[in-house]
Amino acid sequence: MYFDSFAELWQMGVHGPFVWSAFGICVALILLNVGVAVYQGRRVRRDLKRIIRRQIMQEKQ
Amino acid sequence: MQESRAVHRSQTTGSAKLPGHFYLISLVALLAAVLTWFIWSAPVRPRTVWLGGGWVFGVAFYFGALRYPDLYWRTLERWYHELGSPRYFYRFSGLWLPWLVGIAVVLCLTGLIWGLAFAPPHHEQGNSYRIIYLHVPASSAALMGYMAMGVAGLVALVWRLKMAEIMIKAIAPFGAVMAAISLISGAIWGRPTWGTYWIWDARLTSMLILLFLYLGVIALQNAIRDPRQAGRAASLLSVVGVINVVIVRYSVDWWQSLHQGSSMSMFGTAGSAIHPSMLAPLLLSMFGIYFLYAVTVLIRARTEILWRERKSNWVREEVS
Amino acid sequence: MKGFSATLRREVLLAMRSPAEVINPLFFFVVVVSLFPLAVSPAPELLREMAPGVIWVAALLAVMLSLDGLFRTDEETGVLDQLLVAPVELYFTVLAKILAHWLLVGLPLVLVAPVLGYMLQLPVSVLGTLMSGLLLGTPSLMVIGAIGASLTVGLRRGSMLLALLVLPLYIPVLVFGAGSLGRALEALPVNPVLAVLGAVLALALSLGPFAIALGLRISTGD
Repeated sequence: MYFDSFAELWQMGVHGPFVWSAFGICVALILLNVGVAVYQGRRVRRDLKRIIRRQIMQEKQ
Repeated sequence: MQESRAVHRSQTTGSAKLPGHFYLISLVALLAAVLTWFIWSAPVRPRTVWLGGGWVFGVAFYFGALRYPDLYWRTLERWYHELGSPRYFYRFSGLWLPWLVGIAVVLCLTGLIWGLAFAPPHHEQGNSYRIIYLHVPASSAALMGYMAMGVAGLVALVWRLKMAEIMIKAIAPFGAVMAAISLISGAIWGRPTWGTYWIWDARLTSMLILLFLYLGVIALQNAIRDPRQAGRAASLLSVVGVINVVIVRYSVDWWQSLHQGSSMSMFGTAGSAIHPSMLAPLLLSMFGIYFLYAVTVLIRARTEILWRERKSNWVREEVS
Repeated sequence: MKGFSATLRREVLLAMRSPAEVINPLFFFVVVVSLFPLAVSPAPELLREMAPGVIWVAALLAVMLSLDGLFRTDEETGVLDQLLVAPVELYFTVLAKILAHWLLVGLPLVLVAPVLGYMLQLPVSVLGTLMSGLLLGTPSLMVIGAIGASLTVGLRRGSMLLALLVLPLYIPVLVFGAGSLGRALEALPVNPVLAVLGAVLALALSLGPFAIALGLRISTGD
């Protein structure tokens, strides 16, 4: 590691707040986006499952 | 159904029979080779990286296509037909997704941690330059995403390929997020470097316009109810947008030169070379972000396929 | 070419019957420009510095707002469907519509611009550059905006969406247009910049009508 300790890694000289806030915001945005995509996929699957089950029930009747 | 597929496959692939993940592994191996080469070579300029990478890919593809024309062209043809069909795309992407997720996570984590903790500081900008390990991959992914949307739009308009329309819908949201990330990280980097969060710098301005273009495509898609019509409208808009992006780029550069703005680059003063110890993690995180992009595009495309094909039999079997 | 002249004649005739649609964009242009001295300051130096941007942004907005109705009435009255199935190349029909629209809306803007420029304290020597810039720029704005109009023609609340789609596409024309006037103010050569505006116009005129025709086909569900 370039830095001697984790405290120094956190502070990064004087630039710690900038670097870590940039990384925090951006990584959160990326994770949020991936999460939304996964959530949408699950919701569509769930909805489709319900719709198809209802169709099968109707076909049986 | 199974039988006809087997026949189709043996006809199109001919003598070349390789497992599906062979291509993925060879692609990753090629990327790794390029990366290693750059890490071990002397300090290089960013532009050299792109030119060099392009040459490596171009030469590999050209000789490969000459040596094994059957394998290459038949494979391309097969991909066009199979990936153009939502059903096969759904199946293939299901096989690839775990691999892609793994590669994306490993590359992103290695690149970002290496860049944050192990790379040396910049001689002019100190530690604040570490933001480039996020900013540069995001900017390039945003730009590449728009170019990919333009290509998909052209394919959708010329061959009326349903998958291309689905791809545009899947690419747009993450592209917009990448443009936003590029702007946010660029602004935070600007505070210690320029002394302000926002400057009408040519690169930041072009990225802002790119974000607007992404938002326009998303807004148009949401406004039209019929999915086919929405897909075709978005295709046309993204093709027009790609032509426009090129002109915007030149116009903004010219506008910047007119007003004599700041010319400080993330890579330090213009023309200076980037040291391999800084470049290696940058390339790693760049490829990591590309793979992450691919992952989200595949997830969104799969969702869209399921919803659009919800009346077909295979979706019924797939879901229940 | 038969379709071209027929469409041109029809558009001009229709506009003559309802002159408000032609006058309103011009009125908008004049009002928006005259708001700026009231909002900012009547100081001549400041106005002169702002004038290129103010005039170009106002012209751009006037063109964009006028385009909202370019295909809408045709779509509502069913004329658009007739045009799409007519045995005439849609490229020329679209070109004729845009030419007519430019003659009725764009040309008056170009003609009134020097007056507004003079009111914004621009020296008389740069008014020629202002006019030639607008002469080359407004047709490009028309074509690019018509692409957006063709995609939003069937939509409710389409005008807001039109602005979102089209304004980012307008940026090169705005940059080079206002830039030419800015260079003229600094007594630098403007012909290269006007040449770029001309190149953008050539690109827009040659490829734009194809995109507009395709957009109309998409919007009508063809």
